[in-house]
Amino acid sequence: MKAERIKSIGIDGLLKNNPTFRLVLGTCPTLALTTAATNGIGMGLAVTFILICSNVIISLLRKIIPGEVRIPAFVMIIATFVTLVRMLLDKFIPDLYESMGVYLPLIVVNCIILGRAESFASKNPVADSALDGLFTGLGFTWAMTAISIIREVLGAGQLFGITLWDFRIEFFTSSAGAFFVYGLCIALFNGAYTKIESKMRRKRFRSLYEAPLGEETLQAVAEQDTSVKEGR
Amino acid sequence: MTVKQFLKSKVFRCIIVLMCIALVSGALLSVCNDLLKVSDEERVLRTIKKIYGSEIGYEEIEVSYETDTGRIDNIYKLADGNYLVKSTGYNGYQQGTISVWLVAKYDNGKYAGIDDVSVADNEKQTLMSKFTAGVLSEYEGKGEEDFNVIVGGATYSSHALNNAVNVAAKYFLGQTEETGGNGYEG
Amino acid sequence: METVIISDTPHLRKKRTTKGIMLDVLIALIPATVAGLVYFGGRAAVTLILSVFSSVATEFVWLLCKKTDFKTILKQFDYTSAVTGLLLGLTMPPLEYSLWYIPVLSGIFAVGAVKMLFGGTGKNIVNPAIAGRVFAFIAFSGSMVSGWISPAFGSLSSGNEVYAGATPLTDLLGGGLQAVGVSNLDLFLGTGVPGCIGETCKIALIAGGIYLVARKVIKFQYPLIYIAVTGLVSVFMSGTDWNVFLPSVLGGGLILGAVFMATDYVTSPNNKPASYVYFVLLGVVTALLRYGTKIEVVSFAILLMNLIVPLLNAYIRPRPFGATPVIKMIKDKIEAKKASAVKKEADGK
Repeated sequence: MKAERIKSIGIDGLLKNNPTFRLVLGTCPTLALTTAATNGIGMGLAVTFILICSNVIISLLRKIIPGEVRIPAFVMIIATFVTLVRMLLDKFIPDLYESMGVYLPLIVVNCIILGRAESFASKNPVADSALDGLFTGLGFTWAMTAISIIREVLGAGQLFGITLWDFRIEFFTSSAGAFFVYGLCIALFNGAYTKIESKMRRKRFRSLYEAPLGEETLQAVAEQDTSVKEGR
Repeated sequence: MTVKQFLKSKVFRCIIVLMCIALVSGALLSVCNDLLKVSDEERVLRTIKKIYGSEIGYEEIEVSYETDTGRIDNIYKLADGNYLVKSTGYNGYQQGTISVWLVAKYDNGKYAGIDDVSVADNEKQTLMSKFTAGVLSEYEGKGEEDFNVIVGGATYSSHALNNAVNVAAKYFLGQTEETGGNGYEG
Repeated sequence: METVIISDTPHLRKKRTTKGIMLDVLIALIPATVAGLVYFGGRAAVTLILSVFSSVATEFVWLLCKKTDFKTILKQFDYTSAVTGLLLGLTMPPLEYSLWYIPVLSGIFAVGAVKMLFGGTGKNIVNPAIAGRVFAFIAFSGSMVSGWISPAFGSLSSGNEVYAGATPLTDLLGGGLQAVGVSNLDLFLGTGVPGCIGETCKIALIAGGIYLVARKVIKFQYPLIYIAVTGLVSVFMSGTDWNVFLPSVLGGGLILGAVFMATDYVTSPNNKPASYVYFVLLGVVTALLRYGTKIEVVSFAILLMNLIVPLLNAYIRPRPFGATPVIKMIKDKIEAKKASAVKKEADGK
């Protein structure tokens, strides 16, 4: 496993193709379970575990499953792992199981898992798929945690269950507030991301364009044709 | 299509693959289910632990007691003499109901009042957030039959809550007057 | 030699500006404000001041954050956010002093999230005052629902007794006038009826509405249609009991919403046929929601209808100048069909 590859999969999963903020996948649990930070983390870790397991199995079986029935096959594999996680949570962490409620079995049709299976695991070797599952899941987890911290602090005056103060704006724990906070977070994340990305791109290409004789001026970044050079 | 052609065709392969996945998953899950099963008894123990605060032995009592303002759903006789009761009160907002868990304290075999009221669920009540721990503690330690705790702005819901507690209180007060027949000490 | 003037569009100018229209609305709201202050006293004054101040301050802070010059902001200040703040304050119950944060946060949400986030004046997707009120309702539902205090004057019908009920409109819708102990005249004047600051004194609101119609800011038929349709549908929903008409029209925030909020230029349709459809639908939705949920729903109904206004704008178009009227088009088609049928018969013979 080349370190470059690991890094690119990592950046993809955590930032560039963050499932919540960039791909906007799996919004149903995001909106419903971000009322408390513990719920957010629990859901995120459950999805991560299922992602890794299902990505590994699907990647192992990718040569065997015919293309026509890949969706039913994926769903069956994912459903197996979700049921496994349900049983484990019910037995060992019943509080989390109850607070997740119906959203735990809904992980089966969570678009993140199906999407990563379809677009990555069915076309890449096992180790890559496992890493992709891990990083995408972690990206989902940190996004959920960020949103749920905002909602919990503003809406319930608590953080991880510890009451901070008595002032609550119940708007943020309601579903209307969920959409509102989610939209604002997408806007903030994408704004910050494009700013940082354009800065880094400018830095990178400036170093490639060293003026050889000292007379040629640097071409302005806006005029450079960067679309071709991007893909590596 | 001949049988041999069929066995080589894509359709057959799809069917086989799906069947295999289903069989393997089914076998795996059935094994795990046996290992990780949560029995009904354990569920009741969990409820008791959540409401009552400690794990304790219990025995379910058969009961069917209903008045026109409420009914009793379950009674569990706990090993330390108290009773854990789930009751439902009617006449809430929009003709809804409120269900509560409460503990009927028994002191040396004598009924000593209601304790530890907590709301289990409700139908059609919209202002349940007004019933804080402070409000629910007003029921504690009292042995009366007609509680009337009203929260301002949530009049109907308060009526349903009172009915839920009162039906349990009535039942237990009734028990202390009767003798025998159902195992309660007077 | 003739003088030739070359200029850019627009070539026809009127004296009306956004500032002027907003000032007219503010003047029209003065009677209702005064009535609210007289009835509800200091708490109402504080609520109104806080909501106006926070709305205007949000706009200023937002524009400052976008690196606009303070002088430019002052020069370009049309009083839209002030009107939003005042309307928002008038739809709040007279809140206790300890709940000062409710008007402030609602004002910030109304102007910041609904108006400035979408582009400023003229770009709001829904009426910002309505959105602020709905935000306050969802966020602080306990305080908004139970913040009623009895007004300074008692009810005229029950001998100057002050109404002491939980939620006035709920009881009214549930039990009728007798249950509440006020008469229609009380509802009209606002004496003895608890409610939001601006919505109780109907005569003040109607006076403001007449002023606006006289100044040609709103058209008189639209609020009338809204109010009348609400009353009619309420009557039908309760089994054609015509006694329900006046209470359902005079009770709650209907007149305030119909005159000042539903007629907002940005969030109502931009042509006549669509406007008629819009206001009739508003009336129907308000009456049905009131019947179904028994709480004051005017703000929710206006919010819902604001969201479908782009749909109405897109699909209900006025007839372009010079185009054939629809009826004539239908007549022509029927004639053409008849002519071709006759022709076919003639050919067939």
